[in-house]
Amino acid sequence: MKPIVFHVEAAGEFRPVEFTFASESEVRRVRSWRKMTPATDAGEFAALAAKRWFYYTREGASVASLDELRAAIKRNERAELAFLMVASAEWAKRYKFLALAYCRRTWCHHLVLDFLAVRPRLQFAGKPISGIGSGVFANLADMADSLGMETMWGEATASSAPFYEKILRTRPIKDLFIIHRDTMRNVREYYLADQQSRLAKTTKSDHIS
Amino acid sequence: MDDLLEYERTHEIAFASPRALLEARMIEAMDKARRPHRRAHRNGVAHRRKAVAR
Repeated sequence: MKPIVFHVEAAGEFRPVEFTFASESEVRRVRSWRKMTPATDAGEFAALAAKRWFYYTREGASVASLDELRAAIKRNERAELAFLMVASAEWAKRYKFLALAYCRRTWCHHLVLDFLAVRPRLQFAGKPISGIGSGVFANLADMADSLGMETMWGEATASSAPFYEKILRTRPIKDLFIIHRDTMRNVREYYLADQQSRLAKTTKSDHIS
Repeated sequence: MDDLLEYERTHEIAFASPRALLEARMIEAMDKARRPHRRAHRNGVAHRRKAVAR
């Protein structure tokens, strides 16, 4: 499967990030976020998401690629399956992974987002990198839509609700967000339009300079 | 999108479903409980029992 690619702002430039299913060795590496100092929620959540992935793997209920996901669904259309997605970039190789998302495909073919974490204090050329969280979420919604999932949902907390409100352009989000295919497509279209506009601005300024 | 990008620049993006977090912590606790005690066999040396005077 070709990796999903989205772009983020890094030091005034628009740079590509690859978003892929994590293999077992990549899930192991995700655990090392916990060693970051000072300790962060992202570090803890990454390690716990990895633990959960291994637990599901022992139960035969995790997948490490889109092909594996499709095959597992074909074998049992009511299968509950877990997978970890990771975002990485060649130009930011010092960080193996920039972000992760732990998701589940439920028995009725919905997508649940259980963990979403962007590696804290990401920098490129001394400046923060932004757009990774929204890129991950928008592409998960797009993936859910392309897999024919009618619904994507997740639990929101006081700290995550503002993020979901902004990316879904819905207020208020309380302890649950539930989006259906029309919203998945809206998120994708809005996100893609913004990406194209930013890429075009970058290209234009490259030509001028 | 500008407000979303600004939000990402100024806030840690680290979200967990409370239920998933609880489950993951329980899995971690179970894993820790299952691990054998290592101290007794460090460096291949058996745990020494304190000699009891008789």
